[in-house]
Amino acid sequence: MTVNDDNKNTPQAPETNIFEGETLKKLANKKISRRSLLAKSAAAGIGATAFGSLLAACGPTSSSSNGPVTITFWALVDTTGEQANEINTFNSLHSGKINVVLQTLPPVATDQYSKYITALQGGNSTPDVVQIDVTWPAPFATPGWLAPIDSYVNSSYLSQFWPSAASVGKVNGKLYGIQRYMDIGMFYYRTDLVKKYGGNVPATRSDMMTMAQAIMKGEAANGIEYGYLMPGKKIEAIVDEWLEFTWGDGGNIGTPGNLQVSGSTQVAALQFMYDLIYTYKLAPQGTNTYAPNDILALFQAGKAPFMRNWTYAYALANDPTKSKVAGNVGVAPTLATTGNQGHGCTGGWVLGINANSKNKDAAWTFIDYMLSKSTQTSMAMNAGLIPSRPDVISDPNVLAKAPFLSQLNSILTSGNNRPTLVNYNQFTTPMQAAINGVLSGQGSASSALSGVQSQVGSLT
Amino acid sequence: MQTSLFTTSKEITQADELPRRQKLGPLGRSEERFAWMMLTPVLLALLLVGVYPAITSIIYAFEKGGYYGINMSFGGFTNFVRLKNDPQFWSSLKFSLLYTVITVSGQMILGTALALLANLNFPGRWVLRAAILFPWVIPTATNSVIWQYMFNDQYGMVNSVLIHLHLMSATHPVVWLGTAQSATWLIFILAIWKANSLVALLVLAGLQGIPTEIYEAARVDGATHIQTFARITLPLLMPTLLVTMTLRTIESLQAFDLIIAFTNGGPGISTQNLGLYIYTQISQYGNYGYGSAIVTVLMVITLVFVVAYLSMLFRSNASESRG
Amino acid sequence: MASEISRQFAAVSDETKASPRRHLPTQFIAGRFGLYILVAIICLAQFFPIIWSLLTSFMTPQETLSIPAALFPSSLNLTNYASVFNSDIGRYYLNSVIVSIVSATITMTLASLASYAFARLKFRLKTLTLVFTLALSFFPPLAQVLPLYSLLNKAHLINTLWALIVPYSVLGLPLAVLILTAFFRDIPGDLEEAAMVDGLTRFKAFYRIILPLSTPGFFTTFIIVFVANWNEFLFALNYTTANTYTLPVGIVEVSQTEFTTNFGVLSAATTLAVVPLVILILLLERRIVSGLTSGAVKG
Repeated sequence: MTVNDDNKNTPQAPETNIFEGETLKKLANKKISRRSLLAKSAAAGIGATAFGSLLAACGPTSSSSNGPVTITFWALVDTTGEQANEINTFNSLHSGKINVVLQTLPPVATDQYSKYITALQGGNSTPDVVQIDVTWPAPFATPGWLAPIDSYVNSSYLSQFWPSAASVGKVNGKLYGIQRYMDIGMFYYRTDLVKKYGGNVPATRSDMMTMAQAIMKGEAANGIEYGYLMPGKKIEAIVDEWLEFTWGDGGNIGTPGNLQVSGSTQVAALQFMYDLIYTYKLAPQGTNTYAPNDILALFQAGKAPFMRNWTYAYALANDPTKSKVAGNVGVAPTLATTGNQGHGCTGGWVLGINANSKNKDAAWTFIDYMLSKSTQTSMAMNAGLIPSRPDVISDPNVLAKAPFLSQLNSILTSGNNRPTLVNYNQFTTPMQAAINGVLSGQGSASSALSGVQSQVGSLT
Repeated sequence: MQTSLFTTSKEITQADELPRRQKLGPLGRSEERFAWMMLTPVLLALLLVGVYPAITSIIYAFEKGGYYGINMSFGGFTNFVRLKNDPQFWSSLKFSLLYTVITVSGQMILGTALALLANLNFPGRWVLRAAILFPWVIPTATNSVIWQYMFNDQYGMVNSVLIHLHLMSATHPVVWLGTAQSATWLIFILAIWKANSLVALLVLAGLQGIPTEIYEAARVDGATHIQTFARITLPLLMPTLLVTMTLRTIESLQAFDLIIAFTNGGPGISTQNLGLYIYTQISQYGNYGYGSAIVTVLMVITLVFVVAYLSMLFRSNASESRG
Repeated sequence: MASEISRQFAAVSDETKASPRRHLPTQFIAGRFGLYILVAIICLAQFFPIIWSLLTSFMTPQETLSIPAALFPSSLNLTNYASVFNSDIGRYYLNSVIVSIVSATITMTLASLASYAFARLKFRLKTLTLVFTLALSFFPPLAQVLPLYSLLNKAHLINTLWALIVPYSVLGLPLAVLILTAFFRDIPGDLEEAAMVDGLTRFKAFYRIILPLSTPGFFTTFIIVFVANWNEFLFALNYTTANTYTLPVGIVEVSQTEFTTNFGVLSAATTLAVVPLVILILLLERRIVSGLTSGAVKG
């Protein structure tokens, strides 16, 4: 488990002034450093000692104004410690000039969104550097909350990244961010079972169904209970999965301003998701309550041969301390229909600069460092995240440590982005409710999607 | 309004209380000055922190367009007209009202029962006091995650216990949060479980205020226990119960973190209440105008409930002081 | 329900009061037995999530996700607790304690003054003032998060604990005023009048007579306000950063990643957050409430 301790990981992190009021300053007469108090309180089993000393512990500490520029960086939790190490390296490289303070966010995406919205609309000058989901640049840039970074980059700089990583931050002709790491929906399969039941990795829906049915029949005694696992809970992942089925059938959902979610391909995609559970009975009855983590638990327990999940699942499914199927897990592009190609839905996190930041140049220096080849190499090797630079993925040292990245190359190339909308939530929230409703047996796919069509069709 | 609890049952206590201060004059004026002095800090605090957000919200309710408050324009009743034709608003409203009526009733009944039990003098009653506190001090959001974990159909504890007791087949686990009906009932159970503590604590404090002599007098008169409960305990508790019910109703109408972390309004939108819908409109969509219109409606509904409770409170007090 | 309770009540009060009319040993034993069965059922219902958290907190990551769930940990595995202690949860705990206590103290101080006026003084516009005080609570905190942020940001309080103390102190007022007013009204009026005849000022009568007499109610209200602050999530999420997270946000932060939840760590953190608090409240309750009520004048 990581230590999300910015004090420990970033030297010279200035102590935040938790209390600034005059009255409490006077109360704070005993000087105890916060760290020593924390150590003490931990030793005492988090005992809360005298109240006066608690206040003293949180009292203001001196922070000189002519020291290094402080850059506050908001990013979600990283349990490997890699992110903190990268920042430590940066801080020692820029010692005395720039000091980056990492503030980790609670990882639930809607919580993060809410936190960013609150801070940005409130005009706060921190965080300086934000790490945001790939669907957020437009919602944050349109009202002017992000600073354009066009002045810092040129086309040759941008050509270092995957095209989608370099363009995902483009809003109304200006660039507001570059992707730090990638994610994509993939088709996971059990290599041992695929070998035993035919040998070819299923690429189409019907291949998958035929093989899954054979495996469910033949391997029931070995604990196989389900054929195909997919998330079905009311979260973003179900929209992405529905998009993948739509794309894999040769369809698309149109363009902003003219979105089409209730055409025959789109309805068929949702109907297929429904059928996987209730008609073919390949997916578990509880699918409509499963998040990616829930289906991974089933896959790790050896209960199904196939699964749709994000890239994070690869390392966990192959970890022998956590998974019964470690070593027998392979990945492929998401399923298509005959004659079509599967396209995974892309995801990941983008680095950008707060428009109210007082130190935009220093913020860019930090972003540039985070996007550099050496930092991304370290990230790929130590945190298992997918770099946004193709040159890192082709690095033999990286491939030696994370061999599955070689397969990812082709999967990433065929990946599709979600629509870039001024407010992506206005698209995804009704979609999530509609898809989850259908998967819960609350109505037909066509009526649910045409209900959403009227709400989202004209979104830009 | 000026009556004390102790005048409630005139058959038993003759300790009557005169309406405290009828005479006006210099004494009354100094009392009034003193009262406003005592009220000033609270009123100032409310004006400084509470009033600004409330007023901006009401103003937003009459504005249209815009994105997170940027570029809004006057829209009159546009947002309220839109409410009328929004099926999601009506389904959320329905869920909020159902949730409030059922969970507040459940909390009142179970909480009062818990308090009556915990008020008895028996060895080991501290366990019961601890039992009252526990559900309530687990942070609501964390608690909903734990419940979601317990009710997971695959790796959840509830199904595992049922399987071990041979009440369920391991291959056909019950998907507790999978259907609208069971998810709704689970939310109700969770909400009742989570907040009956608050009712129990307040009722317990109310019970301790009832003088034991009243019960002794009743016993001498030969009242049965049911009679004692119905004719002494309950009427004496009435003000406490009404205040508690007011608090629970306000909070239940605004419920948010308990539901979003447990079902996120699903399956579909079957457990979406007004709190979740407001959150979607304001925080997720940036529709300050429409979201604030829903907030305004919610405030009016709350006001109706509170006025009803308070008038009951005043009425019960008034009838007592006449006696 | 009522008759069941009153039967239980009968069993115990018969024992303590030794009423001759009902002193039947068999009835007494049956009642006692029934009472303890009832208490056991209630305890099971009230405790089961925390019992489950306690069990889960000793499980390995695989055990927490085994299908069907393992009901007991195979060994007393302490790694989850080690993770929790290595995280910043100590700081979040401290933040929660400071924020909840400071805000509850401010709320109770202001509210007790106002409640005294509402409960025991006569003044014009009383009903209107009371409704105004309560009206803030009709406005869902959910809708206050964004507008209040701008105010606090202008006051440079964001990212300090004051960003939570200020709203919590004020948001608790309606609730505290309502409850305290009810408790203050329960105290007989003649005591205070007598004190004032003896030469005490109104304010002295308030804090020498009314406040001590309503200690149980005051303590209950304090606990209610404290726990409301302790559990609050929305403001805590939006107004804090890593240094100022409180437990409801901090527990999420230490136990989840983008896609995974570590239920072992979640359970360990929850257990550590909740158990000491309950013990503390019970000890305080015994000390303060029973200590003072035994000596206080009743009725």
